[in-house]
Amino acid sequence: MSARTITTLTAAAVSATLLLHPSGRAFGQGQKISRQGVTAWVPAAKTPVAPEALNAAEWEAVAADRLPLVLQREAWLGTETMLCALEPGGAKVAVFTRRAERLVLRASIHAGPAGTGVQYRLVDNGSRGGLGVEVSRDGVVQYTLRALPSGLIELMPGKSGLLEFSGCRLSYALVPSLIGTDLLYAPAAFPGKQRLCLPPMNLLVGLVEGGDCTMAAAWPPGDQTVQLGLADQESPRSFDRLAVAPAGRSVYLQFVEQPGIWHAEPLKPAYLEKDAVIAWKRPFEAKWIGYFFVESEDIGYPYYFLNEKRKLWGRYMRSWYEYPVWFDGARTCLHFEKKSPPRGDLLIYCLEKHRRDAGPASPVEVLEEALGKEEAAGLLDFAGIEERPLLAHREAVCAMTNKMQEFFNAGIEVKQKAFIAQRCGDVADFIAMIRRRVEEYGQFGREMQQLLHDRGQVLSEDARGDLESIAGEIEQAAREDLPKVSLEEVRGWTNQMKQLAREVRPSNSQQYEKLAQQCRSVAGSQDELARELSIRAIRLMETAAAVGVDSPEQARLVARIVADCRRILRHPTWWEPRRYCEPKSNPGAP
Amino acid sequence: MNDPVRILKLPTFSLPATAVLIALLAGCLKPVEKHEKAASTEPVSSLPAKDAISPGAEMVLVSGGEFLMGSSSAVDAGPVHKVMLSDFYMDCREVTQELYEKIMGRNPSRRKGQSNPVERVRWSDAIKFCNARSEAEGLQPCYDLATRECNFEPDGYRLPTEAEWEYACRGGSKGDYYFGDDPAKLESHAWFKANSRRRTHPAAEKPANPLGLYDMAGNVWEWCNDWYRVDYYAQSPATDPRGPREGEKKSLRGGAFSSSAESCSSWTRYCDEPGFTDACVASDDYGFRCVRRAPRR
Repeated sequence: MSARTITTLTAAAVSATLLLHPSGRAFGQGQKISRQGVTAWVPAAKTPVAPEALNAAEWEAVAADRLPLVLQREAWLGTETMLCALEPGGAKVAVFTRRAERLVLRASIHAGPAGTGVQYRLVDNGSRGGLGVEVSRDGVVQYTLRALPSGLIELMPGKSGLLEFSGCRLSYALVPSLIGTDLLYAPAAFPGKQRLCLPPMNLLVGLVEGGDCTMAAAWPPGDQTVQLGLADQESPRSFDRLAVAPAGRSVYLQFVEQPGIWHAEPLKPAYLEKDAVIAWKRPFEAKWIGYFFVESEDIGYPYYFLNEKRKLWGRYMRSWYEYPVWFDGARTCLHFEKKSPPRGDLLIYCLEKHRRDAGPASPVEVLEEALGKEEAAGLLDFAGIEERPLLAHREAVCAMTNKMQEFFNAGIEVKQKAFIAQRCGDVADFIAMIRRRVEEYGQFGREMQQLLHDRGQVLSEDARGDLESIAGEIEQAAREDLPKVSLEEVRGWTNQMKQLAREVRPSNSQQYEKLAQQCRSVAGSQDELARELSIRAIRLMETAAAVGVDSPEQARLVARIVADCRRILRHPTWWEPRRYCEPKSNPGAP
Repeated sequence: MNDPVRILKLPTFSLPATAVLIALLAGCLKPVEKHEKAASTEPVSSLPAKDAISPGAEMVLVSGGEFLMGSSSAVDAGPVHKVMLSDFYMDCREVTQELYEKIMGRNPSRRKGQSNPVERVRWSDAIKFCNARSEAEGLQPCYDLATRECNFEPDGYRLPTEAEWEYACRGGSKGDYYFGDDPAKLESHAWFKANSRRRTHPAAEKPANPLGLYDMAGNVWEWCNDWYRVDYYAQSPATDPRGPREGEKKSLRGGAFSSSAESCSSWTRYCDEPGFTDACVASDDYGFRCVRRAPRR
């Protein structure tokens, strides 16, 4: 039996000899076996990985029903969009993206110690589909590399402890968070550091140098540790290594290549205070995000591109403003205001698509495929994005009081008595609801102070101080900045407003206006306070992510802080930033 | 406002102000031709508290002159250009909550304090206040509230132009702040992000600038009369510029308790919706101060 052939184990070994050419030499390139869009190539000789080699006609096809098969040499495993090539010794796997006639090396996976006595076994992935290669040494499985039909790579650790992905050249790394903000890591923000420990929060997205490729890495909940390594000498520096200690759980990886899949637009001063169109165009339909640092709020925030230019009041940023990113047909438009100037680049990327078939796999799809839809939905917390239900008619105090003012001005308050009575009750209820929300933040601030007191010792003194300061501000603002008006007083005002509608009097309009102004003043202060508190909670999660990078212990504390911030930021009120702009708006949809 | 009639009976020019006018015309109080002179350590003149309708309403006569407006540090602050201004009176302090309530009968501020600057006032609220204050003192209002156009001829109160505001703020300085370029010194001169504890502070707690004007940096942003346009300085007139003819936003100046040190510089321009149609409350760091036309020399 030639070492250059694929052979089956045990009983199948007899038939495997049939794979040989009658002359006894291997067929042309070697042999290949395909299952559900995943192909394993076993070269007949040491062959450089190249598109021509993959596409050559000389590969001998082997039926998939012969699996599992023992391989006598390193195989290539791939789909139409990616290729993994095991390297001699079995310790490394080269990962390529594959597009048309091109292969681009994206990373090398170091999955175990190199050495002799390595055995490879080609297996099918069962219900997940595709093919895998089990890499063993001395009969002990080191790891299993699986290629799924979608192009997702799964690395199942066996004996190997650490999975290291090197040469990945990430310009940015993101820990996505659909609640709050995506945690953005840029090499420039960490001068002098050689590695960053990240919160192991199940999904990591890398934006690969050049703008035509993204990486998504995912893993199930567990005790993993995750580190990013920084290149030493490059300028600009990139993250060139990702190391995951998998804690016995699989790690999933996918590189997606597509021109324009992410983009960094330098925010030129000339963009200020006017609509600007940039050269970048979305390569496919998705929920595209424009992430930038909002100087006035001191946070980085991911804004979903809308499909229309629009103005907003008091959400994300205070008072009226132009929503900063939108599509006008194929054009990509920006509008940045003087009052909320951005700093640095506008980073454009996507985490989700509207339809699976609209483009390459998104990071959210990677997580869904890796862990299953249900678990992914729980981790991503789609439910928490939903806005807090306030009132059925979705009107705030301003709108309600304005409407009633019209009735009083027109002298038809008695005719509209029922409407006025109902809305007056809603005004009081609304104010009570937002007050409760502010109080929730106050409680959160206290709990966060306690957490930092109990567990903050793993952080540097400065880092701990920064976080305590933000937590303290949250607690203090929720306590001190609430209007000094009791809910009973508010209820008293709304009752008076109701009373005015019992009889038409010339003085009603003026009296109503005064009471309504009082209600609006309280409501406006509370609404704005809720927005400010949510911004501070976002700042807390962002600051934690930036300062707690020096050890796995710090990263674990950061993960806890981020999880707690997400918890308080769930179900925001209308004024608090939320990942989808408006219920009616379908971000970036065609 | 407890006694509007009393306020309405106030004379058009208070006696001391008239005296200042007479003094100016007579050459007793030498007009300041150059800005360097305007930047003396004493106010050139003022409408004193006893004749004002409430404490905190004193005005300073800012003698006109030429100055270099703008900065090359921000896209909307350049080019640096020469501007010649006429004399004008300016409130020593940002309009306080006490004064606003006396004139308007309500206090919209989020953080209450009688001596604190009024905030949560929209531009449209500020011009209503200007007219009401003018009427309360028997002066001619400057604003047509239907069109929101400002007539610069009447003797009543109005919002400063951006040029007037910056000239007064600089007090003769060519630096980023009236006291120089060092933002580290700002804490001694202004309430801003680093020292404000996220709230406004009573007006005039920090030292005045050389013209006797308090809180020109920090505490609350101050509405100006001008429409905001990023590139206005490239084509603005050299004498008494009054802003673009139209626009969508009005200018604000001076930074606020919530602002960075840079935003409190003399040249930083800011802007926001004037609030013509907005029903909701305005930002809690927007206030204003008034100016009045000074008697012509």
